Amino acid sequence: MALAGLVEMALVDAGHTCEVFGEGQFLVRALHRSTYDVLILDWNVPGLTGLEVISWIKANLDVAPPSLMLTSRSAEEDIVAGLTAGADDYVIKPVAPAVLKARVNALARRAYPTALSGFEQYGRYRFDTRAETVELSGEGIALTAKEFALALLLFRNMHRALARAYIFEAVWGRNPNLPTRTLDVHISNVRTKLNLRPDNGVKLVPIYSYGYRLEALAS
Amino acid sequence: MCPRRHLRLRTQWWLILFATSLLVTLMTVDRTAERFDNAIYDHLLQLAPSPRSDAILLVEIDDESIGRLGRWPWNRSVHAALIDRLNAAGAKAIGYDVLFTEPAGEEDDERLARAIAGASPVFLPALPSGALNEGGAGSAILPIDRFRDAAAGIGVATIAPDPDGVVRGAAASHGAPGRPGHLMAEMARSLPHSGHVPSDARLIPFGGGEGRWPEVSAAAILAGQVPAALIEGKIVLVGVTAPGLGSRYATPTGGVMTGLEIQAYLLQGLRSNAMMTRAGLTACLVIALLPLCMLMMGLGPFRRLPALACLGLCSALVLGASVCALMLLRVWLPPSAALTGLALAYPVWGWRQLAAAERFMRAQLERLEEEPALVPRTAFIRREGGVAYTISLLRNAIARNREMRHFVAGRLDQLPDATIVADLAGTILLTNLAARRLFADQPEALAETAGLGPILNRCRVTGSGDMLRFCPGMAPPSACEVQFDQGRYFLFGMAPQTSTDGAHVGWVVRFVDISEAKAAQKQRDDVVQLLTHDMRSPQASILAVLETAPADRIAPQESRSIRYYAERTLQLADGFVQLARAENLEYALEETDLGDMLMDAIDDLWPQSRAKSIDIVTQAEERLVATVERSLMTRALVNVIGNAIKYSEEGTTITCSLSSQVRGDGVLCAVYAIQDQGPGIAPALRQTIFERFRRGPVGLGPRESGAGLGLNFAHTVMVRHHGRIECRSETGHGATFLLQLPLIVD
Repeated sequence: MALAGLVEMALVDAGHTCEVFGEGQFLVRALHRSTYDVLILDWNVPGLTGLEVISWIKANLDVAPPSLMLTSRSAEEDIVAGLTAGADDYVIKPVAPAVLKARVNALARRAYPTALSGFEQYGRYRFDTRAETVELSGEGIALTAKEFALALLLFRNMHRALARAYIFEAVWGRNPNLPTRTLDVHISNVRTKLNLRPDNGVKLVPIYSYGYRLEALAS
Repeated sequence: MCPRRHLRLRTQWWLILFATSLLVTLMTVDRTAERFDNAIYDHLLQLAPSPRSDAILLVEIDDESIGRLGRWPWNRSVHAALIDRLNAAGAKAIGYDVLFTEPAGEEDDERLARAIAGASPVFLPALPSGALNEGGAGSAILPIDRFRDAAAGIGVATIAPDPDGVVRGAAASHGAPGRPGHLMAEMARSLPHSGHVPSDARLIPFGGGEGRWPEVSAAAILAGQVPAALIEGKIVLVGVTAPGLGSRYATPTGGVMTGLEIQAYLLQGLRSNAMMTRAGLTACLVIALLPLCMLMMGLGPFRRLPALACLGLCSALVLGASVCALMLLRVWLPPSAALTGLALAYPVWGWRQLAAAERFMRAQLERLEEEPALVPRTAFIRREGGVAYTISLLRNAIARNREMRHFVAGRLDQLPDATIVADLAGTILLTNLAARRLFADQPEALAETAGLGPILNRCRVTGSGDMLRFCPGMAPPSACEVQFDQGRYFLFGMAPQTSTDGAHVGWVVRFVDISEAKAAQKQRDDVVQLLTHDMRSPQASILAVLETAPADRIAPQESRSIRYYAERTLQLADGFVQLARAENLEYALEETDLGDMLMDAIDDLWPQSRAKSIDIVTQAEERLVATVERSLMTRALVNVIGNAIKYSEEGTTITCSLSSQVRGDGVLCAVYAIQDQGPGIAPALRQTIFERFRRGPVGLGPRESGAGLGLNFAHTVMVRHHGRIECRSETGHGATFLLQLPLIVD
């Protein structure tokens, strides 16, 4: 419960309202009554596990709120299982408050998107969505159309785990004939061309057997 | 059978066919088996109905007549009286088989001539003089002129027995002009309603049964004791039958007949067109050779029936043809030559076949004998000829076969795993001791000739719980882990068995007991579970408490120490869990860009490298792709690079390069080289650096955290990827870690 206290403190600190449930059953009961913007689920709780709660939500709620799971880094199989079951993202224990805030914000943003202007600024990167050009620290970088779409998708979903299937559909549309390697090659190109490295304040994290996530590093 | 032997057997077939055909032809032409044929003919005649007819009456000059009228020869007036009596009674024709070749008294001759010229036509015999051969024309001694003029016809009445003394046919009488024909032929020809009389049909249709012709004594007629009604309209044959005077002949239907009776049969045969012919040479040859050829065909190239049935069929055909020809066509086909041919060809061909089979078998057995044997030889056989040698070879081969089975069963029993040998249809052929022990509670399921079904049905595939199924002709269940109903775990495998020529002949089913390994695995999983969740959770909670505690309640110095130890405990647990994963996880391999992976690892370590202002330089010229378990491989790189950061001085440079090269065994490898400018590693330490819980010497680096599992993990992952990790270093000049990874892994 010390962990729950930490999570609550971090979220309240970030300006969110937060409710803590000691057991999965209590959460399920509460979901009958009220709606929540984001669910944060510990994978190992007494009563109902996080996986079971996710399944229940998928089966019973019309509009499922985005969910974030807390898991131990050691069990990568658990991460894959959770994401496959329907969790939207995960945070590895021990929880760093900054990371938690960034992920929760990313989930809330994705779920409730805001209107966008022609120019989008992410740290040192500036995207012109009309001209489809990118600038890094004021210098223009040449990208193909697909690479630009991919890069914009990653930046718009900062801190959010993107499934391979989702990226595929968003960038290439429903085209099942592409080899899976295509995505990796494009990611690799975007990473090299835009130099998506910690030195530029961002980090591209592969989520094994699932997809990718772009993270902004705290300066 | 090899082609050469086959050819030889075929040659033998032709030889046998030729030789028996020749023999049969000779027998047919030569009538060697005529006695045998006659016996068959006689038997067949007994089957035929008796050709009796009431149209013929025999008048016998018998003992009684001689006794009553005086001794033979009688006065011609007696003969005249007899003929007169017959004329008066209204006989249709009279065949008077008494020779009147020399004149007697004038008065008696005159009286007899008058009687002969009476109402009924009278036929008189002539005496053939000398041999009855062809060309003896005109040599017959005829009745005296007076009688000849009065008689309706003159003919020879000779009865000619066959060489065996049995009368079967009438004497040859035709062909010579001017010479009288047979008396009966003359009579038949002159009588109405007798149809066509074939001139060459000579075999008399004797019939079976007891019947005799109606007969009366001549004395009785002369005495007027015979009513005229008995004689009226009949053909009357008169002849001498008294034992002292007339001859008696053996007949085909058995028993002895007087000449007069034989004449009656002949006459009846001629009249009713029932005379039979002996078949010509061509027909005889056909009936003799055709079944022989059929038999040889049936035994050789056109084998459709069992050999004995073939022989029976051909013999029946011969006999049937003979009987039918005799009964229906009235032609006698002697079957003996044909039967002899069949009886000879059958055993000879059988014998040759047996000989060829024996020769082949011996050759094969000798070859088998010379082949190296797994089982020690029990007896050595001296090479010689004869069946006894073949038998001892065969006995040896059978003994070896038995020994071999025993040997196989013995070796199978020594296998530690339960093993079952089955044929293609899944029928159990062999089981070993372990299998019998495993299925001790249902011995009937392991019985030979039982199917695999009941045994497979007891296995549940671990995980899915499906039953194992096996259908002959379909792909077998693939190797999998199965659970028995009593809670034991086995590795199940079904391997195809092939024969010496590579054909698939059966299956070997194996159950490897992994219950213990399974238990150990379970224990290890439990420990990992404990480390992952149960041990980590309190540590994470400690860190959370430190994070949330108000700053005035806990001294910063203590807070840092507690945080440090909690984090180390977490790292230790992580290291353990990761090592267990690297060792036990089933790798999910995917094609991965090796340069990307290096970048992931460096990015992951960015906080650490930045904290020490260490510059990490990447050199990757080409894009290399390999099939790896990405998360483990990245972690291995993280561990190695992290180590380099840990032991490097602040402000130094670490060079990470990626290149490809061909390994010593010819496999193309990608090589990661991680080079630092740290203190280096002493040679003694380099030997053990990849072992568990090894760390750099205390005091070399500043307060290093770490469990000493990082390089061991990297080593495990590299080995499981068929790669290699090594370390090159000189103390004081930094260290280089080389990670080799095959680019193509089969």
